[in-house]
Amino acid sequence: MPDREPVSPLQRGRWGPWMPWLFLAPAALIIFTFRILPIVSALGVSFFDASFGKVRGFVGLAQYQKLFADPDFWQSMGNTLWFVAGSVPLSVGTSLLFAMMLRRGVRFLGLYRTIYFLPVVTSFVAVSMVWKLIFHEDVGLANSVLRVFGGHGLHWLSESTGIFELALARFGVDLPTWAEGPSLALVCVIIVSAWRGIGYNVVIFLAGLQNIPEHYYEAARIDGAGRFGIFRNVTWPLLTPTTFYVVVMTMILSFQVFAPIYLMTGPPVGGPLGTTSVIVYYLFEKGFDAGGNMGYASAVALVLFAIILALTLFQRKVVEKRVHYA
Amino acid sequence: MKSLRRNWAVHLMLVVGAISFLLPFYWMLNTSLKGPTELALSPPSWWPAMPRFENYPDAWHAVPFPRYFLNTILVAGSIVVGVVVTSGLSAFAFSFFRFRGREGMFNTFLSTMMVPEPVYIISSYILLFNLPGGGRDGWIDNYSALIVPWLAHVFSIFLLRQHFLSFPPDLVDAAVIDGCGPVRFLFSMVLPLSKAALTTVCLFTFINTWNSFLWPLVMTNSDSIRPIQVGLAFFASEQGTEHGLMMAAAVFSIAPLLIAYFFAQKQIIESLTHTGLKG
Amino acid sequence: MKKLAAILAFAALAIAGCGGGGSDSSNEPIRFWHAMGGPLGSALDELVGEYSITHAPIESVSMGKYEALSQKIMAAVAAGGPPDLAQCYEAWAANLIENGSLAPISGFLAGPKGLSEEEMADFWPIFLEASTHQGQLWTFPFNKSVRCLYYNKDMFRAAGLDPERPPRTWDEYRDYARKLTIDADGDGRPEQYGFASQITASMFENLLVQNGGSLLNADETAVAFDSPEGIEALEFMTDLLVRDGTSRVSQGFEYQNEFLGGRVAMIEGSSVTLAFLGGKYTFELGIAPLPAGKVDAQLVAGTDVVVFKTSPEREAEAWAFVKWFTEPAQTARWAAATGYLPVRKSAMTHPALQAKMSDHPGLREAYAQLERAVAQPKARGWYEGRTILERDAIEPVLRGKAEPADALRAAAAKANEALAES
Repeated sequence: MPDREPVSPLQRGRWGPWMPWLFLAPAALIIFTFRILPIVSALGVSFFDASFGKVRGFVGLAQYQKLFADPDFWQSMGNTLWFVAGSVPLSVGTSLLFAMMLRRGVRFLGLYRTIYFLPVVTSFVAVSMVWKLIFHEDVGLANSVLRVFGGHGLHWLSESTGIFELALARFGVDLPTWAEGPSLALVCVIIVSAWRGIGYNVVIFLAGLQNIPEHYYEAARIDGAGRFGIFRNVTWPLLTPTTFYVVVMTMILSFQVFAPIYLMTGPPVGGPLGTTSVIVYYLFEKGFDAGGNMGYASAVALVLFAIILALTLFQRKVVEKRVHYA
Repeated sequence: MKSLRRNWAVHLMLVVGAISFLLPFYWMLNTSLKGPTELALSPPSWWPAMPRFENYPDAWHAVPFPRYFLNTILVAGSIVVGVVVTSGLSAFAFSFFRFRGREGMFNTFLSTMMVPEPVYIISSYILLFNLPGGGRDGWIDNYSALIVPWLAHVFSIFLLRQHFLSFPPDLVDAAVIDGCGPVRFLFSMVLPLSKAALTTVCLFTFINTWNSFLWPLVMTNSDSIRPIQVGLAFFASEQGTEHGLMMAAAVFSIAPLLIAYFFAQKQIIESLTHTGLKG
Repeated sequence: MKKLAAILAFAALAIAGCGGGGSDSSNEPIRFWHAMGGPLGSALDELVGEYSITHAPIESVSMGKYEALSQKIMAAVAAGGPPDLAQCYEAWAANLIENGSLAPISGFLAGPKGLSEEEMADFWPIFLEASTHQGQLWTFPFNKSVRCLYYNKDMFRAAGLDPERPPRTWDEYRDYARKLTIDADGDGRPEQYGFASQITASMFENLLVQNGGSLLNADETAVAFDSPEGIEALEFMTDLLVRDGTSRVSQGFEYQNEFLGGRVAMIEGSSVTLAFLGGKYTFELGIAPLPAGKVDAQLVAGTDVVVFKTSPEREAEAWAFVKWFTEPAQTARWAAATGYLPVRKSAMTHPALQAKMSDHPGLREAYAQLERAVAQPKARGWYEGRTILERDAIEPVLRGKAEPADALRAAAAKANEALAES
């Protein structure tokens, strides 16, 4: 951030000290009332026995003890990590690739960009409805394509077996449970969320690429750099701020994934066999099922919040220092 | 020769990409024109053998979709106006003023983005229920529950602040020398220079509101308030809704945004590009 | 840190304080939250509309499905503003009773606005039993159903089976499914399946009861589904649904579409499924009671209605609607329009219901299952227990990840913890 005067010249005069607060007031009022207050109260009840909206008593860390002892919690945590590990590289990698190809002034650039961006403006409700049909085991498009190529149909959204296990089973390898990987159902959800988000990232990457001055490329070409050399020495370092932004945002959004899980999986949501139950859905279920165990849900929320906060701080403090700014 | 082949590879990948992005939309249309017997075919047909156009009016009349559209437009429209005003003003304060607590305030705002909606949805329900001025359930099942809490949007503030910070620092000095107060500076210099960024904020707020689902699902009960996404999800999850009708409803629920997108796509993408994210 | 603790404590208190809110609503119409969508919603709204004109206004609000209804009730009770009336499963009721949110129905039965002993005797005893918690009537039968078998008579004929003689025993069930499965090209993926179902505890629960088992022990302190009868029931279910290769296991209510589309010969449904199939089938439809097990029994399904604690006047008004709705004429019309069971015996002779039963002769027999019906468990922990049964036993077994006996025992241990905790 560029340095500014200790007091902005705009703030001179009698009203000066109050001026910024006047400008801030409308947004601050809304955000404090409708975000911060509910968030703080939601997180605050994690030390209480609270159900049906009634706080019944202080229980200290009991909710957390119960939470860490619940295998379903750890399963959701594992699923969430797989979701992040799958969707961040898939979404960022694919969009970077498309952006690189489009940057080279290909014909129909506008058309491609329009098409890739299309899913971004559609709702998850509609999108998940059609993808569920595509992944339908019996009358779905995905399986009919597989069968055309002589393969067997897959169970897609109702397949609870891990994808590594599925892939290796053909060669007669049987992996231990911990190495099976995310279920095919979770992978389907990862694909759909990436499909929906790639267009946005492509546009951001294209903007980042346009900001790289042409003379850097010329200089590199004069130095006789090859295609890969140019990418390594010019594009990649100069694109880091954009990549950094895209990675952080995709990561935070992936940790918070809820809508595609809620709309695409099950019934019951989070199935098959809980292999698509992510942490936010686990929390939602605990807070909203009969009796509404809000204290418990709030403990889950706090754990998730801590993870995202740690991640953000880590990115800010450590990674950002290494980022090369243009 | 080499570059020609490489170009082929690039084009091939772009085309494959484009097909995989378009296919689900085609599938939506294709399915929306099928009757029950054709829907049960395995493998499914690529083209409806006997297009059943009645699926569209049937779905349209099955639940009050016109009302849902009206609700959505009303809510999204109000929110867009509100968000532009509140984010414009606060981003202005964050970028051009110096005051105690500025960073703290900004970071507090940003930190709310780290909390997913399901975390605070129950406590929000309790809060909205207890607010005066709505119906008998406070603000629950009332337009105010859909509009007011969303009148400020942290990401928009972030975007605009980012954009304002890219202005040269002398701009402020020049303005002050010209005898410009903050309000005039905002309206005569900052806003005219921020059309692209403001457009982005408008478009994204509109798209997000149009597509929001969980909040209106929890906060509304009656058909007269229910927005399109909740109505669509209800319709689809109802026992015995045929795929053909479901897809027809999906098509007309996304159609307005897609049509708007085709007309405004240059604007949307360029405004996004211009806003850029310059560190 | 101290400051933070203070803020958190304040926020917690703010929530607690909010719990008692709610605005003055004495003049508002009685509000009824339910999950009746589609044809069921229209049928309900018709009756509600009639009551609103002839008696007092009722505001009927559909939440679309039970899951959403449960969430809405939870949020509304938490905020201190429940509706006046709501549909409610037995296991939710236990939670609401414990929370002190309900007004007991027993309190409304005395006096001229209540129900006489004669009238009470007209209700099917099984329904009243299902509505009784700790000796009091807390809920009231509203939309009750039984499971039955739906089948495609055309396919029966094509397979050389008598369309008027549906399967009657478990063995016949599997046998019919096998005969009705057609895999002409031999690719292991039948073009026509004998049977289809979603993965649900409901089917197992019925098989268990038919096999002489029960879900919980007599005083509802521990589960009993891991008994030899339970294991046998799950073995049978696995044979029929998975091992025989004659069935499709589908997601959600997909199997109904597959049945309508002519890909599946038999499905199980509730007596209400007929309303959803209504008019959409292009074949001759058969309805029959479920094939019987060792014991001629059947679990009652469907929900009750509850009256929330508001003010004595509103509670009385809410009850007045419930009373009207369950009178023989209304319950018969409701049953005829939807396929739910009439809650009173005398309603069976109502012309509307008689007409429906002559349209679908199988219904008469399906309704007769009521004579031998068993109530759902009511223990508070059963809500969670049932989820555990479904997720830790039924689903893993049907997906080939576990064996019935092991899975049921493991689920039983976990469900017992849930029962003990509540």
